[in-house]
Amino acid sequence: MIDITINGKGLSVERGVTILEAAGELGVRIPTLCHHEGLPPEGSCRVCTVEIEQRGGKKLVASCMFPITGPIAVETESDRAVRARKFVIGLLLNRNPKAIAINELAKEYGVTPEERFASEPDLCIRCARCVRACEINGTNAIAPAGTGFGRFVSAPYGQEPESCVGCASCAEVCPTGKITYNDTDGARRIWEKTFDLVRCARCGAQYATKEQIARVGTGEEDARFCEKCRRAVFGERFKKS
Amino acid sequence: MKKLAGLDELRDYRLSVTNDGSLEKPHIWVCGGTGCLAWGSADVLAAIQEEIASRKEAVTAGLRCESAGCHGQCERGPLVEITPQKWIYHKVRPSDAGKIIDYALRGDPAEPTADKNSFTSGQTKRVLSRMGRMSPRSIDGYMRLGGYEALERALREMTPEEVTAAVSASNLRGRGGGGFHAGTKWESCRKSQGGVKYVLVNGDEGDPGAFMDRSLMEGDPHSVLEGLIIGGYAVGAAEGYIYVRNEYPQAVANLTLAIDDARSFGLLGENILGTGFNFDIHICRGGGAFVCGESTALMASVEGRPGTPRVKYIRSTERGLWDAPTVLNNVETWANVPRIILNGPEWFKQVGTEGSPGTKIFALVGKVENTGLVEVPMGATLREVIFGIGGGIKKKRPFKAVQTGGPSGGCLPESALETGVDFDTLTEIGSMMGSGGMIVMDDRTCMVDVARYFTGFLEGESCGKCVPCREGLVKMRKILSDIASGKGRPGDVELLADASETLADTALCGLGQSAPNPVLSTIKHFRDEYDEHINEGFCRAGVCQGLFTAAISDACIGCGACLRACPANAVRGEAKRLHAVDARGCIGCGACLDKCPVNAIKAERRSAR
Amino acid sequence: MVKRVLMVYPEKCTGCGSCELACSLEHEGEFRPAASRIGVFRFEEAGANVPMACFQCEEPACEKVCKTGALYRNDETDVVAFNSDKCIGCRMCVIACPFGNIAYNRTAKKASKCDECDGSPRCVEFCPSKALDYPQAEGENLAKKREFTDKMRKALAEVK
Repeated sequence: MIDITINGKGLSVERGVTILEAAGELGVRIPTLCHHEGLPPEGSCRVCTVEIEQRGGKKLVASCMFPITGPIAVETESDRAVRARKFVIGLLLNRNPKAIAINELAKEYGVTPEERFASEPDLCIRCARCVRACEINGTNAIAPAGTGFGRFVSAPYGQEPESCVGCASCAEVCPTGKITYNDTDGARRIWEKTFDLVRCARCGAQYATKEQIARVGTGEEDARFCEKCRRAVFGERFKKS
Repeated sequence: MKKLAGLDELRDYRLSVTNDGSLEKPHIWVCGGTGCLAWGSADVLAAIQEEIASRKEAVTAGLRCESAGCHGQCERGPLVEITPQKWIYHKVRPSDAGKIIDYALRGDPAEPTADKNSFTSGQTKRVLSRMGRMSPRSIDGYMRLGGYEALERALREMTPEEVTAAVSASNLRGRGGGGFHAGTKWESCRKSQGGVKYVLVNGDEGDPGAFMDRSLMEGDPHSVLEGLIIGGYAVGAAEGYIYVRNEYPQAVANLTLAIDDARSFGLLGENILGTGFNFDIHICRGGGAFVCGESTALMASVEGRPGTPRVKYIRSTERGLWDAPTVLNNVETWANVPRIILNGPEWFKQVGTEGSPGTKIFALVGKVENTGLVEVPMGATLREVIFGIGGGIKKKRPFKAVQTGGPSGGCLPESALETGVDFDTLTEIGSMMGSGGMIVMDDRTCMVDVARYFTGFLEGESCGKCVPCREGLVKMRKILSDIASGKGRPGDVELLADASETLADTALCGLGQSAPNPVLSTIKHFRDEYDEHINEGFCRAGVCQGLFTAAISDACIGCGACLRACPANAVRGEAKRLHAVDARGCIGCGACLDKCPVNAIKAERRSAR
Repeated sequence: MVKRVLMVYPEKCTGCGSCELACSLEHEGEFRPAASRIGVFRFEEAGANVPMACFQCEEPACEKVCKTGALYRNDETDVVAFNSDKCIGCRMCVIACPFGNIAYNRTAKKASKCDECDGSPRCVEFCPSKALDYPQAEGENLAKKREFTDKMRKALAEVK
């Protein structure tokens, strides 16, 4: 166990625990953006920046990724950490003025937009949550493309992603609503690809794409029904037995 | 080529080529480095070889002419060297073939040679000592000049721990720019748990204007291989990768041949020289990204993934390439290793400074008389390099600044000229050693423009992963573009400095962390220029379009060069009489300032006239 | 810690739906049977009703397909727990559960399943006819639960 302090409060943690995790244990809130509990950390938004003192020196680190391997003193709201946070929030606000998550952070830290540096409003904040979600599902249909300011998330060559199963996890984890999908008339459209939505054999609800059912490996019989109807069907059988 | 089965066989073979008499015979070397090739040295080589073949006395004397690596004084190419005397000739043309052969055969240089000039005499060649008088495409040539003796010594007399200790004791610091103590890196990797380990060569050399590594990989590839094999032995790696940037095809070709030859000789592969040590080297080519010079991005690229850096809280010596303990060092660092093993750490420390022993290769470019590749002991002053070796500023214009360290480095003013080049001193005064790029600037360089250039370069090379670098560099470049085009606002310098400092503090990798250096160093040392651009719309260097007007002093000799150069017909004057610029017509393009042979034209404020 | 097991006695179920109201109130803050994690299936012709909630399977199909670890079996409490912070909304669990005992809440963007209300299931508390119980997991109760699950297995087997 390693002894650390966060904002002056002491805590003992296991080696390898991140500063963000340790702060959570203490109930200290550190703002995050690209971080998602269920996904591997990215460390790219830098909103979770904190200042640490280690071996006599101070520096800024991304708390979502920094592993605790020795005694450190963490300050989550030091001048230097707050300056860093305001800097990245300001930059994001200039590019993503309509993103609710960014506006909330801007309000919290008193950051205002700079018209001089505003660019074409964009909802994507390049947090890569969508990419990581697709990766963790084993689908790998989308990835970051381009470099620098021109970096964007795309399917290979901007075409229909072959491996996409239409699960829409990407849309579910997107913090700004940039990724959307459309379910109409038995079809789902996402990333310019159209999927047939399977209709429940009992109630007719559109409940999943064929590809996603195949990925899960659910047997033919079960796959015919949505979850409510599966319960009903088993209820029937159970009742009969 | 016969495979050498043991250490004794290697020794015997080495001695046999060293003593075969070639070193005493006259030999002509034509520089085949990329710079001289561009000057047309391939034709010079062909001409000399043809003429030798047609002259009986040359053939009888066993005179040979081969292509060699970079001689260094790239400004004066094609360069030719005659050994064993080491006479160097500049600007050789194919029609000079006969002359050169005469000098070689007669053992008489006849005309003054360039090897004793200030460019050469000011240098201390250790790493570059073989370059230019050896064929980079011949393993025999390498061995003839002492190659692979260090490897033999390491395998014969030293344990991996002893090799690592020797590198540590020499205090060799990374020559790629980081200046990290190489021995510490090696020791950390050597001690890391894990069966599989890797050693890597960073040959990405992305800094604009830097060509030290290119010349080494082209001109003395075996020195890099030998260093890498010794490194693999020391840390326990069985595989090494050389990451070469894609824009260096000749380096790739020469390294590939060197690796093939080393394999044929049994210096790479399984059970090297019967010692039980297995090691092989692969070449990996870059894809044209500056960010792939960053160690974690480089490793991602070798693994076949996009060259995006990762957060480096866990060192690569613990988990690097394919999550295995890895040592990554720069080309020049690896090339220093064989001599350290052969001559010992004390020899290495005989030159240089205490904090930075040894020598450093610089690519001296910009407004100096003698541009090219130079090797000096650490601690040599900037003045010695720029005015001694470099021959001073071209056209005798006043010195303004020297930029070291590429886009990660800073600009230093005249007051810094007495500083000895060394990792720590350069960092202390606001720049950094970097990989060895040294760009000399005169009064015709606008420091705001320099800052804008480097920021724009980094903006284009940013991988785009983290917010501060991806978005912050755009903000910085916009401010600099505004200032450079006369649209700067009061408070812009403070805004720029603040953004720069915070970007450096917040960025994920070294590219962003060092990006502000050119900006902050120019603000620190050349603040007046920023203020003049913003408050007066004036560019004193005469670079920023429209922010000045040309003014001709009475040093004018009336040659009319400015009149002919002016695209706006704003110059008036008669032959041999004082010329003048019509300030209303002058568009502030700067064309005449460079054309004047007597430096009589200056940039002036538009409002002054 | 005493392990308990959620027991269902369909023969006692009147189909009143109090369990659905209690569950949705507890978890969603409003009476909304559609969002309830326990569902009652009413078979009017037969005059029978069957309440169904997550069986907290020993080898959960949902846990197997969950790539983020949001679903994980807690062997101390015998509950297949759900950590909504880790959920990425892929809905593989919904497709995978052979019994349809896990659903997806579109507004909250998270999966929803029975969590036994952290040890005091509301549905049990409000069931007026004792069709739902939460006894200790030992002896007679376990035997009964086993009988229940055997029946389910047979029902499953009929299909496969």
